[in-house]
Amino acid sequence: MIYISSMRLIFLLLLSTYQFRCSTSDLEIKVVSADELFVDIKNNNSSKIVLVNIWSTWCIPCIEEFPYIVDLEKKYKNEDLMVVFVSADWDENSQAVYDFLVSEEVTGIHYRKKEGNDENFINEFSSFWSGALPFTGIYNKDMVLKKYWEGKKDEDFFKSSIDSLINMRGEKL
Amino acid sequence: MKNIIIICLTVLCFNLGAKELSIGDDIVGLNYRLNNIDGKNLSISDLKKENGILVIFSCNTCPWVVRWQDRYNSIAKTCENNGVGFVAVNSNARLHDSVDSIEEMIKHARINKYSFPYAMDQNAKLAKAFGAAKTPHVYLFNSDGKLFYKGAIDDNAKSAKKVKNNYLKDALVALGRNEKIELSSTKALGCSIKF
Repeated sequence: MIYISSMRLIFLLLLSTYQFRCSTSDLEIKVVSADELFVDIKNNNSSKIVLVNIWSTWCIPCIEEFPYIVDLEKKYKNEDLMVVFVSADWDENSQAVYDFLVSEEVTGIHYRKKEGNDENFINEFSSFWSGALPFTGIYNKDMVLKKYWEGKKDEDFFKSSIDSLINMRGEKL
Repeated sequence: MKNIIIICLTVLCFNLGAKELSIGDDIVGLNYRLNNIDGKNLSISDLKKENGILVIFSCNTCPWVVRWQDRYNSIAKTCENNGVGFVAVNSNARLHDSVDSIEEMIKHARINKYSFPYAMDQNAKLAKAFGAAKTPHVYLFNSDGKLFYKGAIDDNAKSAKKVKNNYLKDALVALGRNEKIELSSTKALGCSIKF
């Protein structure tokens, strides 16, 4: 009886360690300024267009649209679309950001805004952005803004905006 | 043809409604009814004083409002000292039956000791007229009803003690002295207004 309990405990311990390693190794959250983010994207992007979504854990419209933006990445080819999420949460919410991303089963590199300098951060993404969340901007390879909107939109709106850019000829992008 | 004209006019009206006021623009929605938490109906024209009026689009739950609102009473005092009227407006129409109801606004104002009018903007009529998009966001008009300053309260939502640039207070003092300001428009992150 003691043997079975011990084995069960060891199994549970191994399982929890495995799960922790998976979630930490598959998901990386970088804390960046807008400048650092743009450099990072340019260095890692091989897609025609880049969709940047700025969200926050306490922003309900952001949380509502998050899952179908995640799905967009799967629906489009890598050469067409790169999706980048940037959390605008403060430092004290870093664990909440991590927990939310894990709960959404996302992996890869995610970003969180460095605290301070909001005005520069906003204007780097778009001089037209008021600062309201969520914000979505679609950029070309050189990170030149092509489309943007504030507030939550439905999946069809995202798709038609992406399609209209993907279907453009290279020189126009 | 008729249908095309109707569609064009609809799009035009929508865009006109969405366009945000620019510095120097005339105040709009002067007589729109705002329901204050004391049960009285107010309008911007009722609240405007000799040197102008300050409108803050606010709400009960936005974390940025929650952080910045410890400065609201002090802003109200600065308004009073400089002959400027002040109102905080809740335009979250979609939430006016829940977390931003008038009952919740009364409770919120009591807990946070608001010393100024806090009014509900039914159907977000005023926010739409201003082209306001987020909370907290301020619009300061001068005695002629021209937009003098818009944007952020200051440069640090998290801590009043760590503020380096007191954008709004500087604008209020300048308005009281009839002086010009260098920074008439600023930005900060915030919550989208729930129209």
